[in-house]
Amino acid sequence: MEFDLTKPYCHYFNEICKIPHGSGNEKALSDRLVAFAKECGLDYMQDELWNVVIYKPASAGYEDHPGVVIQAHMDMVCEKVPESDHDFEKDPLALYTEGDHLRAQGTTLGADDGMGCAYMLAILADDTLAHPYLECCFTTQEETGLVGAQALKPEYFKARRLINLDGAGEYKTYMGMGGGEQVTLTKPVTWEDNDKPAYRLRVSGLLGGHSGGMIDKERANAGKLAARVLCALKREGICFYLTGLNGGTKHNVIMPEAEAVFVTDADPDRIRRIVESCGSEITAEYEQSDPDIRITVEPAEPVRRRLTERDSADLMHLLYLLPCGLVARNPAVEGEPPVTSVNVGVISLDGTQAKIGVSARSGLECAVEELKHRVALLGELYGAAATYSGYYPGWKYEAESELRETMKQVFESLYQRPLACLIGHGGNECGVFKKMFPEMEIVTSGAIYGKIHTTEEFLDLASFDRSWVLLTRFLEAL
Amino acid sequence: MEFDLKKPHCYYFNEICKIPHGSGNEKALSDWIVAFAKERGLSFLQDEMWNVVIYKQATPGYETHPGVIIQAHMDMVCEKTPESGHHFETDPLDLYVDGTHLRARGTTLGGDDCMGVAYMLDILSDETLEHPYLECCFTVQEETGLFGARALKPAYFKARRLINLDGAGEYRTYTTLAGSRNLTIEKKITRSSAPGAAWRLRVEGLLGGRTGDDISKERANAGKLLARALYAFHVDGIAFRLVSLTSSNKKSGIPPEGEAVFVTEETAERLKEALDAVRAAVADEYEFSDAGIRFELEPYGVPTERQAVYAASAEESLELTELLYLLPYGVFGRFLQLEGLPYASANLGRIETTDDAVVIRYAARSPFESCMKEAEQTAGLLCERLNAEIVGKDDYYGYRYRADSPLRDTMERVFLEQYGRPLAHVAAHGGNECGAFAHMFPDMDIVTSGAIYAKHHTPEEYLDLESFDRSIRFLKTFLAAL
Repeated sequence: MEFDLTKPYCHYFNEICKIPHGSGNEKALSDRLVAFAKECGLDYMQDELWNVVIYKPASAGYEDHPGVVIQAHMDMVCEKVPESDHDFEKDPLALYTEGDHLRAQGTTLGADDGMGCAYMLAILADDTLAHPYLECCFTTQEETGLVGAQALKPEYFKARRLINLDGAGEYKTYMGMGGGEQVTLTKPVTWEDNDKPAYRLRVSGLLGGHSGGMIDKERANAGKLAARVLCALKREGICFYLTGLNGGTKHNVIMPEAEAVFVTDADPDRIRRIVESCGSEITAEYEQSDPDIRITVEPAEPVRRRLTERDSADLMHLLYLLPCGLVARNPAVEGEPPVTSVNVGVISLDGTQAKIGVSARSGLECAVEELKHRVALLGELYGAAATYSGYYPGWKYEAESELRETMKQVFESLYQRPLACLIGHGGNECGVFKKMFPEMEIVTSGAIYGKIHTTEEFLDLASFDRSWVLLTRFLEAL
Repeated sequence: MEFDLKKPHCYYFNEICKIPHGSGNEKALSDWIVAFAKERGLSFLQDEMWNVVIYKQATPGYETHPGVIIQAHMDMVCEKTPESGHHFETDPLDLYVDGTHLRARGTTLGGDDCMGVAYMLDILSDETLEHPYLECCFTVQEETGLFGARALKPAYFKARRLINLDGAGEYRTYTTLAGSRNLTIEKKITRSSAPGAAWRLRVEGLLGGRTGDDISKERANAGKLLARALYAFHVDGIAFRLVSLTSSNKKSGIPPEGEAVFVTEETAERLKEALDAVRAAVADEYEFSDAGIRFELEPYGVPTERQAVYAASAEESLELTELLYLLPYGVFGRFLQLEGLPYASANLGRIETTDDAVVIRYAARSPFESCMKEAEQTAGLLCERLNAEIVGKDDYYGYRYRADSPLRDTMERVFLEQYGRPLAHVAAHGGNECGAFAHMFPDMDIVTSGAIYAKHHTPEEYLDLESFDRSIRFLKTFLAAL
């Protein structure tokens, strides 16, 4: 399929790709958007984070219809293949088509979310379209933590209806998304001299996965399993001291492997038997959902220092008790999607302190708060202090939405089948708008792209054509 | 439809109904079953709980086939209508037919589970049948906590295949059921005279429900909500001393209501403000699963010098609150297959307050004994940190889904032949006596079967007589195929 630059949205996509726009490097593109607004004689706003909002009056006959915010983020994830010498700071992307897919040579394409930006530019430039008053919002630094969106101010917007164009994918729309916050528990530890033999407990082979997308897949968490096995040793009367406890790299990833090093005088065969017995129980429980879990214990290189018995027990028990996994689902929505979850993502132990990174996630802010309280209280009981970071607001599901009903009707009349209405558990920028304007009605839409955040990223050109029709008909119906 | 006493299964059902057999009152029926075995020259065993096992040799040609246990419980739930003069200790049930339903006048029928008992007696007395070596097991006190089944000993049984006849209902078989570890947790309190005003915080209007069937429905738990509100007071800097904390009036199940009485020197405004935030959060979280929750806070009298309120210390009150706040509640794991059936859950059950302690029931359910053990450890660690103690532990066991079950395969084949449609598999989070067998013999191959009865445990209980006829035919054919 041809990437036909006579189609306005293709033209604008192509123009965007000429200007480097990795996250945090959006000024040039932002300024280009401002220049575009000026050329078109449209009002605009550009803020200190380089967010841009362009305002377009209602077309004839739509003057008394309530306005609509359309929104996409202008930044892209910058990834390239090892052999590429692409410079994301200054080089344009080298676009090419492969079948129905538009791709970039050796790099991410930035269809996430250049797709949405191109649609907005095409809408703003087209004076033949029918639509209500529009506020087209181009945000920055989405990929690095919704930074641009969280700096938006209520006074930028008059409209209270939002069409988000980030990654819904043509045939579906979201009705809610997760919000969240990270809790880091920090526990100071005391070391003492050690002369006992050391053992390494390894938990590996887990499926892991992103805690936004995979938390309802019943997968095991390596840190939690390590704590479970350690507790089993203690329950069986093995006296041991921790010298190492590590696992995971990110708060929001289900910990795929973990390792604990401990020292003890206990009989090695007995240790092995207890670990094996605990391991076989775990294997039976996760037979369907995480079938390749490996739990091993073996002698480790001698260590000179160990945690005190008290610190060892406290740390292990704290990790054992921390909530982890799905907390609540929405039974009123098909598939009972996750609403609230918590993930133990990172554990580490160094010379002075142990750290546990927990990610709390929910479409309901109160549920995130509740999880924070629970995690912090457990920390308090075991001598660890809680700090919080990385807050982003969620978008709570509402059973009724006029905007969504209209979108469903337009979609059905075009596609002759129902629009899929989903609740997501990951975060996106919609939550920020919902937080600013609790009464805001929100839908998501947009063309299909895939393999985002990788060098195989593609934009489906046929879907790019069809979704344009859907979007413009939708605006016409508003 | 007639209740035709010429049919052996009907005859035996009728005989059983002549002998009172409420839970805990099974001796007469147990002795009658023993007499039945003696008359027929069958070897039997009767234990001190009044459980009975009757052994019947394989019929010719089946001598080399592995044996089968058939099992039902002989006790029934005793419920009657308010106007009934029935005496469950002495009176026979007054059976009558209503359409195709067999019922008992003004009382429960005990179709649960004399249906299964009658079937076993029919099978044991029928010399025309073909079957492998049989061990027919009649248990007691099922309805009050599976006590008979839990007292069974491995030495009673040689067979490693089990057909349980309790409540599956003709067209289906249970493939897995959960066990439960029921813990009693005690938190000691020392009361002393407490200054300030007394308040009563009530939470009510919850749906509640059963721990087996309803735990996966995202419902709220009154004990957890009380703890949440009290912990929110603490987070807001409101100190309080508990006079009492109670939830539910039933021993098991998800508590639908509860109340905390406490004394505080804080103003009503601050309490109400803190509670309003909790109320709003709870309304949001349970909007789609438990929408009728109400919190009510009202003065409970101001203590005067002559009429002091004796409350737990502030420290004990906070520890108790934190314990209840942190005890995990709800579903912790689900099977990816079996339509997302929970495999591990826990419920905070009834909470009671005495003069010197708060007593908490906590139950962990799972077909895996390992999950029950981990839940106990979780509760134990929290108790250790918050100065409470696990003072009681009471288990019954579940059984795991087996993808490979030759017994179920045969049952499916015979069912398809007789009914022309597939047997339904039911995987459930509730419990029954099968788990006692799986616990004794981990390799036990288990199915459940039986005729349809309904509204059991109520005076409207009935046995479907058509299903009663079809299901015995099926059971006998099934045995012949084993």
